[in-house]
Amino acid sequence: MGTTMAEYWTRDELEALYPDGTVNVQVDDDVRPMTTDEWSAWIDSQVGMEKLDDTGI
Amino acid sequence: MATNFPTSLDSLTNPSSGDSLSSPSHSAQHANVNDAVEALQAKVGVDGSAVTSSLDYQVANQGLTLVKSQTIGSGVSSVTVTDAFSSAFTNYRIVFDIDSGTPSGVLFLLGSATTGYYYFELQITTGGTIGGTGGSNAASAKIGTLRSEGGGGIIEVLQPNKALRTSFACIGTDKSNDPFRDTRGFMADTTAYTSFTIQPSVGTMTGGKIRVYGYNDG
Repeated sequence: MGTTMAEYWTRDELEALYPDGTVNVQVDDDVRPMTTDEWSAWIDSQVGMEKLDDTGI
Repeated sequence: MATNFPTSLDSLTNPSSGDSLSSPSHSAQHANVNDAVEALQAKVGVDGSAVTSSLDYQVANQGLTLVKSQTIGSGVSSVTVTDAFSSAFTNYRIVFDIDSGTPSGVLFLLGSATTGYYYFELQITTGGTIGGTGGSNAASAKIGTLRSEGGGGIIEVLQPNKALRTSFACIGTDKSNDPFRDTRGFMADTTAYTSFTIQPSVGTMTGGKIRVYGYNDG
């Protein structure tokens, strides 16, 4: 609901922030790195999503 | 010495091997222990006790029972909590607090379902501007917003383990000038779910807790 122009995530930005091997998935106490296939699908699912920031307060 | 329990703890005298039966008094020793045991029984209560001060009554009639407490790991894209829902309770409360994460939405999913979520999240700014985000047959339900300072919420989940549609409502949070996040929704299928997942819509989250409570069905 901000008044600034919305920005959206690109694949390059996401891959730079979250390189393969650095993202975990957790089931109960089991925390493990995503496989490369999981990571690629996870990146795909977020491309084009709106960026939020912590401004406005 | 009459027992002081449960007002205070007793301090019982242990006899030594060389003590006579009269000092300390043998009969008084038995009487003291008997009194203490009776006080303990009264405090614990019998099965199905109707005495409101008894532990049996209070345990059986407490409103919420902690089912599971799950620590959120570091740099995780999602946290799935298994064995959260069962026939032991009909309705549940999930309280989650996230220490930090990628600024994004917070998503709620049941079991492995990635379709069938119907919901609306009402958003209100500090200035009173009203907006919202909804989904019909969506891949998940948005229940709040995560900021770098973290986030959280309280999710009420109705009948997740019954072969009925599961309803949910969330008092979500947003540590920004859009602090009001309130979601209502349901899952359209009739699966009896045992697990759920909380995840940011973008990026990862680190630290915090997810606690699951069951509502007393009494």
